[in-house]
Amino acid sequence: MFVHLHVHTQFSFLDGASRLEALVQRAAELDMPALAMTDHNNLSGAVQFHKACRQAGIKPIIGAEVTVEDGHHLTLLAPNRAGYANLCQLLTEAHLSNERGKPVASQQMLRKYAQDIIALSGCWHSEIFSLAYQRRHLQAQRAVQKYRDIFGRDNFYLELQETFYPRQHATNKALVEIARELKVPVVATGNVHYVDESQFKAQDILTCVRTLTTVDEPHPERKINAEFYFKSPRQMQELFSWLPEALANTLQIAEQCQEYELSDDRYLPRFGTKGKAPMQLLRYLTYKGARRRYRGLNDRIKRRLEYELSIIEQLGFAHYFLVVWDVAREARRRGIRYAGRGSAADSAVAYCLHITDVDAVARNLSFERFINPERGDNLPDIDIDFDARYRDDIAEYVTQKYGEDKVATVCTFQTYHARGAIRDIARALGFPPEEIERLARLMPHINADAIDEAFDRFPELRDSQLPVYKYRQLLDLCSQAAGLPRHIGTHLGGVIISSQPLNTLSPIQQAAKGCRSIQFDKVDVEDLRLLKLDLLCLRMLSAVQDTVTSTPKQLDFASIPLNDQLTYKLLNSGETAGAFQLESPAQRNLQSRLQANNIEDIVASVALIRPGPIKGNMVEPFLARRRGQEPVTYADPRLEDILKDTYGVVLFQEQVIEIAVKIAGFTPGEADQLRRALTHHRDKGQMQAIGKDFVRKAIQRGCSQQVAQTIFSYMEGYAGYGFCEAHAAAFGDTGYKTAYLLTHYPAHFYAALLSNQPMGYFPAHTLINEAKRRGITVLGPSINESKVQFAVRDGTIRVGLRQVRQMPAALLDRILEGQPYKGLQDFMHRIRPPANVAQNLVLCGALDCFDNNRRRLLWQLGAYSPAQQPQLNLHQAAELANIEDFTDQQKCCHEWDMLGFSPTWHPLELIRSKLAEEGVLTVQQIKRQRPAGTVKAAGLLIRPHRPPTRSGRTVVFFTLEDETGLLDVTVFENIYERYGKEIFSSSVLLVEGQLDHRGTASIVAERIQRLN
Amino acid sequence: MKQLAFDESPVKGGEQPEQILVRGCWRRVESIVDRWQETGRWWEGERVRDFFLVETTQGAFVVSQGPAGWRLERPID
Repeated sequence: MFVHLHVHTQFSFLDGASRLEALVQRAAELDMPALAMTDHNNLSGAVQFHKACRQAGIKPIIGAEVTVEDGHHLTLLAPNRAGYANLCQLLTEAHLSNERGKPVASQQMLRKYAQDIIALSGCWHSEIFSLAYQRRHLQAQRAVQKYRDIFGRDNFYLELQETFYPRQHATNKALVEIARELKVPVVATGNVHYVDESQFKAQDILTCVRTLTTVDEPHPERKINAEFYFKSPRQMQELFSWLPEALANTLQIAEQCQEYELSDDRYLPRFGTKGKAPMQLLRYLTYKGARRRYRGLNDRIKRRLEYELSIIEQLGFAHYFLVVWDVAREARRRGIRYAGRGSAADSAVAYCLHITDVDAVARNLSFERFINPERGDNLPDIDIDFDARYRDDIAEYVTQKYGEDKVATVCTFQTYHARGAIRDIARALGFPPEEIERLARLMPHINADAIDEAFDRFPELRDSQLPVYKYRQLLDLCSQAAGLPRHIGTHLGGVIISSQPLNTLSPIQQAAKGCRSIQFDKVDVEDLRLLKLDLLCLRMLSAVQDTVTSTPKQLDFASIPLNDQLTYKLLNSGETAGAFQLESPAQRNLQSRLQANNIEDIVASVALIRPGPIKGNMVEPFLARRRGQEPVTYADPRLEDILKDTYGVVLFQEQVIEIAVKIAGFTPGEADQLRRALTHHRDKGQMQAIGKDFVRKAIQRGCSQQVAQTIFSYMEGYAGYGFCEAHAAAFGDTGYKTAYLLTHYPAHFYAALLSNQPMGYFPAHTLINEAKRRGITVLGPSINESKVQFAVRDGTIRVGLRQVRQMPAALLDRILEGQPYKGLQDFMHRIRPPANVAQNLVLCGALDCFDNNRRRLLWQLGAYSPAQQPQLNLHQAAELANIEDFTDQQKCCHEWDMLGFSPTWHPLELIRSKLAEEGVLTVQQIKRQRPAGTVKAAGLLIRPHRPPTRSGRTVVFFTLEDETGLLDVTVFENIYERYGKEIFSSSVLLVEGQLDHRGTASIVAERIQRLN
Repeated sequence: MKQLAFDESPVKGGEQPEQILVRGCWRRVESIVDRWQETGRWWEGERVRDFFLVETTQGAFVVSQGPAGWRLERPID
């Protein structure tokens, strides 16, 4: 028998070409009792590997191939939990003591963490093999002695591989000679990089990507043959028939390795309670908060709080709540705007602790959706959005509070999708850059293994006339790279807090943005039962903050009335570009059809415009019932209480839980499990079993079989698409309030949105256009008037100077300090901007205050150099006076290039007369057009997308923007088949189609043409 | 002196090289010093080749065998 002890998974980024599940499956097929995982300098695969091995009945051996001094490799295995902790600490030190991404374990580090580690001397790139290969026998001997001293006589093995490399066998013989002389055991390994030989090409191309070479360039890290596959014990026996002990030792090592858990509850954080019991403190804070939140604490509120507190106590989550309370408290103390979201808003305790702003008691939200008392193994998930500018400050506070060694961010694994795979692999295959870019840009956002199919499926690719035969090899390799992680990244919000140093659980490394990151992603973290806080950036909160601080009255955002009729009027008009979660074409259309007049309608809207409800055809029945066109009926009168706010439609996950409790007598925990089962689309057999259980219990509680089955069919039909009500309530509240800002403070709100780009659905140019359409004057940047950001003065928005392309932040500060400037000469003399910045300032119009002839300004710039003052002779002065300015079209293009939009002209405005000659109407003319018929519209193309549809057919939606507003366009499959290429490769379109006046006016496209 | 036909290989052998044409004379392979495998330019359709470092009375040579037969790669100084 034989066990593979040197195996690279996909987490040897751009080196391992097989997923660890496939490797484990192969080991199981070959009846191997154990399997090791030894990725380069990381343990990122440890949790998944552990799980996969256990499921396959194989003993997992966790290890790593560590880079030591001089770039040599060393294979280390952790035979027990103590060894695992040492390996984590070793890798942590190797990462943190060296340049980011180039970890090196020094000899000193190896000695420090050698306890409970089994070391194998390593591969072709190891110190010992290299010396033996160079026939430096004595030095090789000394190196063996050195490692044997570090790891101990029983824990160091000379590693031998037979991969058909030149002089490898002879070198192996020399190593065996050394082993005999020094009485060091030998072990055979396969240095596995993929499951089978066919994956060699993928592994080679990934190596080219990693080493930034092309296939034509040799590189020492590229393998010369396909011998690094998962060899069977029989194949290994054949290769090592001359040295059977090397095979036997693999089993001996595997037996020496124990199975152990990676994590335990010691890693959960403890909140300092100054001697108080944590529950006592939590209870005190909850009631203190409750008295502030509710004017009077009635029995219902007290009962709810007591229930939640009892479950929190029972599951030992008090510390967790206190940690989150403290974070929210700190944000308030610093005046940082935040909002708790997700299922945490199902908790009244979280509301009282000011973690969330949704009143779970008033909304009668199901606490079990947040914490299931019968599934204590799952830690609750609390997400908090912060004003994006200060999120890192809060993360830093957490780090300082709990200690740098006990706080780290969660990592992400950036896996290959179509565009990324094409860019990397085509480059490695030697394609010219322009061809790579052309191909990559044509790709929709699909998986790398779906590219082939995409050439048949998507008209824009099919009609691109690309020579697909030429790309055969590229597409095959992309397909093999699909889903493999390219590199490790940093999660945007996930922060782990622990009571123990995290470097005993995971290696820690420096993340690109400066923080420290563990080597596990959010799924691993959940499996390890670590406490993860999602501290997220939400730019909308930054925009809200900017708006409320810039309005004259210093508005209190939290106290915005929820019954403002003007706000509902705006929502009902569907003209909500800029409102949080309510601005997409589907939302705007829904709003104008829904005619909302209360916040519950808005909460429902947030939940309705999701892929699930759209696919599940929930929108139309909801609208029909809301408008009274369809009766609201209940299969059982007990459902009325639960479903009345959503007109008898099961829209929220919390409603499923309540139905299961009320109708079938499920415990809340069982009901949540039912909800999970329905939400996660179990197979038909499981669904039937769940249904039978529900119906049986419902009948026991007085339902007829028919009614019980009908109710279950509602749940089955809708629960899969259901949305968390608490989350919808949190987002709905913010959405409504931003619509209020849009109604009452449009200039301030648009300026704030523009200052915090990129965010939201629409690009800056659309927001500018919408602001103008509402009668707000938008002025271009001015060197004397502009601030850093967009600013409002007397109801007018002035573009900020930060918007100007290539403007350095430090220079911007100097410009602002120096305002005002008397003229070009004064500005150039005092600021001395780089030539490119000065030119950009002219082209965007920021220097129009000196001379409104921009071409003349440009000409004058040429006369300035940092060293000399302009000296014009009479002849030059006469020339200057005669310089003709740019045309409006040219200026518009320049402004667009320099700012990302033109505050002066809309591009369509400049070709309007020509468009009118062709019968093209403006968006406003189209909206007034009665009766509906065929119309022609033209505009900038905004966000073409293909959401999932119930029928499975492709429907493309996009928005056209002209100088008078926005027009949504629907393209059905037959038209998309003809014009897909135009839609996905143009920026300005002319669309002819049928006008549809349902909701916001839109057109159903019949003909589409690219406009140059 | 032996003249090779257009498609004739300067190496003869079965699973292992047996003779090499050196300066117009076929020389017997005295010993195989080393052997390895290379996949070659797979992106251009090349297939895996077995390489041999062999010794003859006229010196050492690298020869290889692939799907198209034997090939004399280079002499070793």
